[in-house]
Amino acid sequence: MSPSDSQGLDICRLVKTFDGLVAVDKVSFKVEPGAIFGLLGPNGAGKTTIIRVVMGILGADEGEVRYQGHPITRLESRRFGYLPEERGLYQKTRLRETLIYLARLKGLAPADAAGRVDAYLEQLELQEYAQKNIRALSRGNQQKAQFIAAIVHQPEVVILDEPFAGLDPVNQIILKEIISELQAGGATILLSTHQMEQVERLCQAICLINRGRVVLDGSLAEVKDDHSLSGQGEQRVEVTFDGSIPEGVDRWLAVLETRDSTVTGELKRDLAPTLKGLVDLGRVLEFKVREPTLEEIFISAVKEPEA
Amino acid sequence: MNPVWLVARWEYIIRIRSKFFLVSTLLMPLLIVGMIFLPVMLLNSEDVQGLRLAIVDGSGEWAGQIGQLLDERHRTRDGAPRYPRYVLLNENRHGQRAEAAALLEAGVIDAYLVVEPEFITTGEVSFVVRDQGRVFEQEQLRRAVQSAWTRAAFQRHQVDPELLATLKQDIAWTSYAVRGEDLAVSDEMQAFLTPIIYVLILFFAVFLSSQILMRSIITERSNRVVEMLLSSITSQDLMTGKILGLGMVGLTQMVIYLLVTSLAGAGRGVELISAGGAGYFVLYAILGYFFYAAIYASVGCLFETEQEAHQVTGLLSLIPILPLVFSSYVITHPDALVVRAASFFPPLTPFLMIIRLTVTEVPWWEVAGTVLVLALFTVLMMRWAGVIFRTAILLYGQRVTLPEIVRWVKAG
Repeated sequence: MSPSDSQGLDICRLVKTFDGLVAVDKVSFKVEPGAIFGLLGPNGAGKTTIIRVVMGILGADEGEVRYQGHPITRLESRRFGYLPEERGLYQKTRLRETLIYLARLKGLAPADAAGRVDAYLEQLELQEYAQKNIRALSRGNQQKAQFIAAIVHQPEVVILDEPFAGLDPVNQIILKEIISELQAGGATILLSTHQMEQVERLCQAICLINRGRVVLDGSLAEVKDDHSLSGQGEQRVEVTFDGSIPEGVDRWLAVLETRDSTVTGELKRDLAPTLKGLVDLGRVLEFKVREPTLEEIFISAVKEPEA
Repeated sequence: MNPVWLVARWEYIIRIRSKFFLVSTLLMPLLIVGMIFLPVMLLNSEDVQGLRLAIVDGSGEWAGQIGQLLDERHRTRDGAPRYPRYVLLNENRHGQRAEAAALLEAGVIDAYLVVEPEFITTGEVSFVVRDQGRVFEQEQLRRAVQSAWTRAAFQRHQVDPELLATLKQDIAWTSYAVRGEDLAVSDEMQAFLTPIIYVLILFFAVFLSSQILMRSIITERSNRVVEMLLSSITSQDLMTGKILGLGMVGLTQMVIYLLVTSLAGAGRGVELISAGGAGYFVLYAILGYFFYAAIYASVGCLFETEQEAHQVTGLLSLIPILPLVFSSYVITHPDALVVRAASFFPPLTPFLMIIRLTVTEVPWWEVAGTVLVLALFTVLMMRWAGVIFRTAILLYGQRVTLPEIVRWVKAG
């Protein structure tokens, strides 16, 4: 499908430099409509710059961002909701009026803005603080208020940069529920976070950025498959023998750990010949291919360019 | 609603109800009222006792006359003489001087006057006072002695006492100021106070609003609200909205100040603020505000704390203080070449033109020219501020240099 045919969000060969330093280098990825998409990468990889370009806060040096097949205009960005990583709220103004102001900046009519703010304050259990100055709220409650500001206009695309940072486990669950609700309501969600377990639970697709470049992208299942059964010799297996571990196992596996009659290691060759070779060495009771966690994929992918 | 107006309305409402606005708005009228009524209050200070005086009178002819004049002219509210005095009459005037000095030393008197026996011919008087700062009282004493001497001189030359009375009468002096083809009665106090009050109001309104604008930008940057705002509106809309909103705050303050000044002037029977003067004032104030607001908005983008920003704005605010410092010269020489030339220097234009327009008839082409130059530079400053705002608003932890700013402006 060409970019113009897509109904989702297309990031096309984006380039952004700051004083000669390339922060984003020909980055392209697609976020399917209605999906939760994880934008991952180590600190300084260029994630926030990409997000700022998507939101129109920064201009791209090259490439473009398209939504529903068309380049995004400033007016269209009102259909987007954004929770920045570097976030804050006015401290000396009242919570409800601040959220109404931010909602109105997103184009909501006064009555509509007030109604939606009230509904979200109730849902996130903040209604008792509605008339209080924001500085009277705890850090967690301030983050919930910022989240309301990002989604109060019920955007079609929600961009969340480290949304779970600083939230306690209870509020993380509430936030996850709301993200799921947004998706159920048809919203497309771009999620940038370091919390890989949240990405594994929430995201259908990911894009990993390192040093301003795409390292890997695709659906979560594809990415994991690529790293578990691609025959790259880094897939971990766990083999339990009947009795002691026979000699010669290291011909087939780069042994990482041995415990009683179980050996854990990385494949040196393809899966099928390895299994046959191990069976020839001794009686195999169990042969498990362990799927790498997203965190392991992340670390491995980020380390690769340095090697 | 247009996002610019949404931002402007928000900025206006949250500032108008803040304690800072309330305090700063009240302080200025107090200053104005103080300036207008202070002279009256000083005059009323005659109600209290004046200098305690000793008069060393070598001839014995003067103390009585001087004392009589002082008592006639200066009494406290309860009718007592304002200048209680000891009279030391003796031909041994050196001894009396020593006695007066001892009284001064002991704190019995505050000053002593030595009238020589030859005073009628020499006109020489010595006055010794402990506190030289009591200039108003010294002046009252000097006038009383002067009157006694004049009266004696007239008698000595056998001048008709009626002529003396006529000569002492004040003439009827009426000042008129040229206003177009008309002449308007002017008042010295009005002529001097009005431009200074205008400049003070302008200074407070422009710089308080600009300072609030800068503080607001620094706060939004430091508490990271700005990125959320920029996801909804453009940086240009945000900056314009903030400048407009805080400009309306300044305008509100100016209207309050002008009303208070008019009412205070009316209380003294003087028209301090004329409709025409207020019109020019508002025109130059609006242009001046936008000019300085653009600078302050740019500075706000470049620093993360107010302390850092004040290093720059402290220097900036020295420029408009110049017209305040030289206001006496500008008031007395509104058409001097240096004043006319400086009126075309945009940072000074609003302040100098406000002074000149209230004290003299400025040629129309100078008014139009200064407005045009100021307007052009204001547009330029706003454009540059827009570029700096757009570029620097999300730059954190970086010390921006002047060459970098120049490069942004050139590229923008």
